[in-house]
Amino acid sequence: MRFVMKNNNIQSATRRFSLQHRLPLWICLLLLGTVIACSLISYIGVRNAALQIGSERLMALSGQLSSMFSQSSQNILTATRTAANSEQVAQFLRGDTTMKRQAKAALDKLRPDSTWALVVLLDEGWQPVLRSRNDTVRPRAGFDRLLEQLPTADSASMGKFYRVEQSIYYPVIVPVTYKQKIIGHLLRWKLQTATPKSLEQLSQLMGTKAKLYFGNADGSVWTDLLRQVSFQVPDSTQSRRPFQYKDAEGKAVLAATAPIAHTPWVLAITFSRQIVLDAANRFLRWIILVGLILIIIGICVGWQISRNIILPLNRLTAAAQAIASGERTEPVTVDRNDELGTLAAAFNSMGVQVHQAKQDLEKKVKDRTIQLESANRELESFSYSISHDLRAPLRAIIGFTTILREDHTAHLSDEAKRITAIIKQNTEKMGHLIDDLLAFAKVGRLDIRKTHIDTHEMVHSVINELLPADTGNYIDLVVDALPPISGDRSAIRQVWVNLLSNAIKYSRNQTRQRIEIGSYDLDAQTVFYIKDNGVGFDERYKDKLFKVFQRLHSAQEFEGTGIGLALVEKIISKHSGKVWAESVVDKGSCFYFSLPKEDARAIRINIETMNG
Amino acid sequence: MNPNSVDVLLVEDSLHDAELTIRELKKHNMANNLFHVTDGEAALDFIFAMGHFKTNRDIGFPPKLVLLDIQMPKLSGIEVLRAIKTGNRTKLVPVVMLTSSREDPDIATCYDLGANSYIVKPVNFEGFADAIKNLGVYWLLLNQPPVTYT
Repeated sequence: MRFVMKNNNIQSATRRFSLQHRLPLWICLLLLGTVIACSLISYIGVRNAALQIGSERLMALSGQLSSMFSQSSQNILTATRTAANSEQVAQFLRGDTTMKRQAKAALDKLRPDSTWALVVLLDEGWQPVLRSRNDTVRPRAGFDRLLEQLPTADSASMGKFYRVEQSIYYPVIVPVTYKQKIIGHLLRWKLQTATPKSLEQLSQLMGTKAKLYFGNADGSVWTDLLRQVSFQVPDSTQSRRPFQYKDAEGKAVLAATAPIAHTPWVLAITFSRQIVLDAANRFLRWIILVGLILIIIGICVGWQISRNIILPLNRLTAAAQAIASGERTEPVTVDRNDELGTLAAAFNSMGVQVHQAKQDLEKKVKDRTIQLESANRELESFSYSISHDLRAPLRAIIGFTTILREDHTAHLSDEAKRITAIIKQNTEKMGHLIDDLLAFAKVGRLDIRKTHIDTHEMVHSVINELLPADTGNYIDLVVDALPPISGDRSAIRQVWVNLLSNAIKYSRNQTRQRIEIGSYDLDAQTVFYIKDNGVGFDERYKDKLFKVFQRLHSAQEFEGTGIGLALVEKIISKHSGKVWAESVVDKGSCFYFSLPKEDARAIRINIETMNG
Repeated sequence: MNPNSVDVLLVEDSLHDAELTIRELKKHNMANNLFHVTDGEAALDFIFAMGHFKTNRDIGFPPKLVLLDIQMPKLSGIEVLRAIKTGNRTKLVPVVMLTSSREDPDIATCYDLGANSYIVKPVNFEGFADAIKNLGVYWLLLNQPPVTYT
């Protein structure tokens, strides 16, 4: 649930951006994703390739150097063997002390430079019997310790590295034979070192930041040819394959080891991982730079594209809003041949159409209004003329008939008096007809002015008017609570007057008159009803009930002009309501009318108007 | 009859209506000094002592009441009313407008111009008779005219 909400938040957040911002944003995100993915994949590829190449070079180099050093150790052994088997040395070992000087010279010859620290001649019991000069070994104690290290190999061999003080030495032992018999050994100690110059040469051979180490195969002593170092082969079984390693300074290195043939030594070469990966890292920097440039270009292009779309859209929107608010606008100029251009053209022609239609409509409305106004004026003056001109003669007829009856009563027979009464009665009826007809015509033109109506109060006031308390007529009157409505006060009052007076009129022959007034809700309307126990009407004729001058009872039975219900129908339909009736002959009838429920807004407006 | 001592000036084009009116006023003894003209022009001549009444009328002796029908040929009641109520020496004369129609669009105009009453003549005779009697009683007996003219 929370996730969904969050997701919605994100969506609404992106929606909050305008289209103009969203397009570059999406392009930027898309490019960013692509660039990151591409860079990552190609960087990993390049890095692995670099590591692979580095490893291969490392292996090749270590193999090469291993065989090179193996060769040189073979050379040393051969030279030593040649010296050991010289005649002077053999004779000296066999006891010919006269040969001591010559033997010593031979030993000294085996120290061609100062790295050859010591040459010792050992007898059959591995006891030193002669040694070379010892002035190059410093300090003295180191020399003594070299003397104490007595190898026991019978065959010619290179010995393991030994550490003496700060220096590393290794022995070269060859047996001295006489007539196929070993009569002693020749032991040479060599300082394992290199000059900075030779190291530089090596370095150039191997490449920058490469280091060469020598050590015993058992891992006991390691040297970088300048001093002893700590170096660990992580696993001897893996020693033929390159491995990664952190050196003493904490830098990651790529390393490979190779045993040197015919010696108990191992050489190790390390490449700085940083150098190996340098090309890959350079590649990564490049690709990031290119990616950034691509993204920037993408954003610019996206911005431009969205601007190209948005600007015409904005112009169209502004024009649409102007049209919506009824203003006349200039045609929108979008000078392009694409969808937007088509849209603008369509919009412009629509704008013209709308304007045209609006003008036509306005003109039509104006014309109609003028026509209606003139028709209305005609109707008004017509009504006025009718009421004025028709009433004047009627008044004269009634007036003079009355004068006849009053002033000449002595000359009139009873029949003449009866006839003058009929003349007067009918003339008066004509007057009522004219009045009602005018009232009916007036309702048709009525402007409904809706206000809040307290129905309950209105009905009671109408009842009081129609049934003054002192008339003595007793009527069972049941009035429910009636909801307020909104409507034209005088028109709605007319409705109640007409319906109630009908109910009273048509039930007056009952021994016990009963009238019920109530209401109920029907959908969005309030239905009011007035029920009486009067003569009722034949439901077959109920279509005629609400038509002008249509009556279901004779004027002799019940007086009336046939306008009342037509008036009710007209007023209620002007209020968007309906009128209908139900009846059973001699049992009574019920008249209903519905009006829209009063809405709270209308009440509030009324109250504000009243307060204001 | 001395035209300078007229109580009621009846301006009514319908002779029948006039007859009924006069009969009713007579019945109550209020038509002794009644003068009847049948159109607006004559009414103005009488009130402003012009034309036919130039020699025998003094504008300083206006009637106590003018009963003025609205619908008349030539000058209508409205125009007569306007003339009376804008005349400096006649504006205080009480004028009661008579009409046959409730629908008359000129009720407001009449009051605007200063009419003192507006009466719709009922069709039935009893109503009409009552209205005329009440009018006479009110304006001729009950109402105190302004002192400026006597």
